[in-house]
Amino acid sequence: MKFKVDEISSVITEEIKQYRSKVDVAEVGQVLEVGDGIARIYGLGNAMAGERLEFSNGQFGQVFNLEQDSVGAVIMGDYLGIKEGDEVRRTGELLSVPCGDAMVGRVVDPLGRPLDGKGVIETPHRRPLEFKAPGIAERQPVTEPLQTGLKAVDSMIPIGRGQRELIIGDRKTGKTAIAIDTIINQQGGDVICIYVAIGQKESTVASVVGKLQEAGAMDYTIVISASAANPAPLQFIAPYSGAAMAEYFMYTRGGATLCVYDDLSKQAHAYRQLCLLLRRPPGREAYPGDVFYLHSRLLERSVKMRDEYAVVPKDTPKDSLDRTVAFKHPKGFEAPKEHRPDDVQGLYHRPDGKKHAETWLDSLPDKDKYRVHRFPDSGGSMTALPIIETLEGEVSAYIPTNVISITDGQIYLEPDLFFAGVRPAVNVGISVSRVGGNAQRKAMKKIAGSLRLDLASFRELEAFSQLGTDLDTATQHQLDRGQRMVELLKQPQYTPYNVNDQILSIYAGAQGFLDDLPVNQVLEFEAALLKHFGDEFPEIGEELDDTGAMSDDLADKIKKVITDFKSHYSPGEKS
Amino acid sequence: MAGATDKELALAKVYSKSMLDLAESQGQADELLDELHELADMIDKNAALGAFLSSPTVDVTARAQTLEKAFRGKASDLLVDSLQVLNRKERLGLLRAVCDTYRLAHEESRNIVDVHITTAVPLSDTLRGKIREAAAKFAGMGVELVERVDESVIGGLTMRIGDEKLDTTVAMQLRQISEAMQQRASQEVHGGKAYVEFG
Repeated sequence: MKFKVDEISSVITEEIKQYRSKVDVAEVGQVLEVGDGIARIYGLGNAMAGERLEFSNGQFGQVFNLEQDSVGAVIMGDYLGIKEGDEVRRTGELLSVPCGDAMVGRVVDPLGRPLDGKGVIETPHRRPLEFKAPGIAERQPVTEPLQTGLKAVDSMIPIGRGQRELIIGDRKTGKTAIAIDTIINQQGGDVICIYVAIGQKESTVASVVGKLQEAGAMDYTIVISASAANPAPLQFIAPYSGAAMAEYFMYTRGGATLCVYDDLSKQAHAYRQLCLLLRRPPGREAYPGDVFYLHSRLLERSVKMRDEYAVVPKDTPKDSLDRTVAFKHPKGFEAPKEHRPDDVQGLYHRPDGKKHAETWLDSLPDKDKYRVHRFPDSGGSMTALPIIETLEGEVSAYIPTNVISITDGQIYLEPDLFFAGVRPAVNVGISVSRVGGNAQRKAMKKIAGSLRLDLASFRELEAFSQLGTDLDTATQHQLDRGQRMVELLKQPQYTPYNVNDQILSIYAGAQGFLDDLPVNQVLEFEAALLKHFGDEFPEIGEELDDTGAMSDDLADKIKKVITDFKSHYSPGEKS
Repeated sequence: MAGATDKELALAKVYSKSMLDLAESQGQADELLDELHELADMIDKNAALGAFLSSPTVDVTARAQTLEKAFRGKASDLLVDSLQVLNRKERLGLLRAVCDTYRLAHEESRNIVDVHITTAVPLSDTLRGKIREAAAKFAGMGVELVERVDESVIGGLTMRIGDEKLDTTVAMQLRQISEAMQQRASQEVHGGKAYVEFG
């Protein structure tokens, strides 16, 4: 090994040449006491709430409490190197994280510093950690599906882009697995995924990253890790940092994003620790009074932004973001309802607005000179999959009830189902999606409409039938169907299903084509059937993609294919 | 103000304010400050005295008698009385903090601000005069220089007025150069430049 002394010394010379001595002016305070990741600081009379501070050992801090004679701050990093009497400097800025394309594919800590050994992340973009969620006017209803690739979820608990769907369950029930499968299923799509690991073992995070890499999912994923070994302040800010990175894609280019917060119970623990150390009064379960706001302000940042349209001169570039080029309706808000603009800039919002813009354009005498333009930075979305770990299935604890009430539905996972081999172990009875139904594909909605209720009633019947009483044929039939549907909804990890495959296999089950098969052959039959569809009838998949709906003709065709296939099918056959 | 927690400072302020009010009404504010300083220095030098004053294992009445014997007649009555009150309330451990807060309150009442100067070598009189002048101009009021010699600053000086800190030291400049060089080198290394040849 040989050092290139010349080059090194030339760098040093260059640096010294360029150096211009300036007086370093700063507002400073002194550490009065420090411990357990928090510091009390004397001075800093002008410090702002939430401001970033710099300690003399290079660590960052954040102002939490502004008190009469002192400032309470949390330390984002190693607090053991900070002593009483050390100097603390104000920076005059709030905490922010780097964001942009350079972050994608990287594993970073909550302050955006790389953890994967792939070198510095060079990006000119930064966003504040805390950002106010958009208001009502900037939003649009959730209508676009975010496919998880899981039959049990996409059919019965559909998730839309911009929705917040809680994944809740005891430890080791497959909560992370659902989130990871969802990320893997976004392959080839336009969704940027952000996986935030909070308070987890480093080994777990490493294996998740490994799985994502193996599946090729790191190409569109950012992993933020605040492991159990990181100080509580970092664990507390991790989800906000994930949201900030997602917001970059959502606000600046109208991108679709998916944030997984794994898990928010650990974040609440970290926040509780900070607040107790800072002597904020404890409330229920010793959580501070604002623990609801902790989660509500985070999840409120998940949003489906409105689409924005305008009538613009024909030569406007397709990627124009300039709202001032809009050709305003001369009558403004006085215009007839069918071409009335939605704001003072003359823009049209949401799909309805697009129709209004088109109607107005058609009515213009010189309509050839204009076109309807969709601003490409509008219409972004951030879908959130927060995860909450329950203890012994206790969903009425403080944090679970809070997050359940904030989110637009929950996927409830049960250990009993998990150990009975039903994986994903989704309890369909109490899992709901409050907005996703509108986002579901028509075909899926049609065939899976009654699935959830049927399965729930099957569960009840099953419990009843275990008493050993004689059952009538109808009940027996319902039980048989239920058992086969439960079998059909099982799915191994890391194997997301294409939505058309899901539709076909659920259709086969719901129409009773599996009723006469032994339960243990259902998945084998399904695999063979889907392969048959893919190989011999690709046009069915294409039609489902094109129309999104299941017409009667298509249904008849599918029925016929399944019947034919079944007549030739023998177990053990691979195609 | 390091050495005391914010709670201790808040407590000390209560005592020092009362002491200042009394001293001012008797026209002894400056004398009391000197005496307090002397006492605080004595405690700093003599650990046993500090322990005797602050230890909760020493009986309050016994300590009161000792204080009476040791100080009455030798120090102003105001100081001895104040010490007795602090003793009765078992707050003699706050003496250092009381001294600091008294000084600040005293300066504030005279519209004077503390200016902390750190240099590598002791200040000469001419330099002190110049600094005092500059600091007074910067602060817009009278100043009281608190000097500290610290060889690690290498050269130049730091001046702290309230929360504002001006730094012209060689140590700071070296730190800035080293940060700039590290940043540049890390960018270049990650950009593919090698400063080390292997093999």
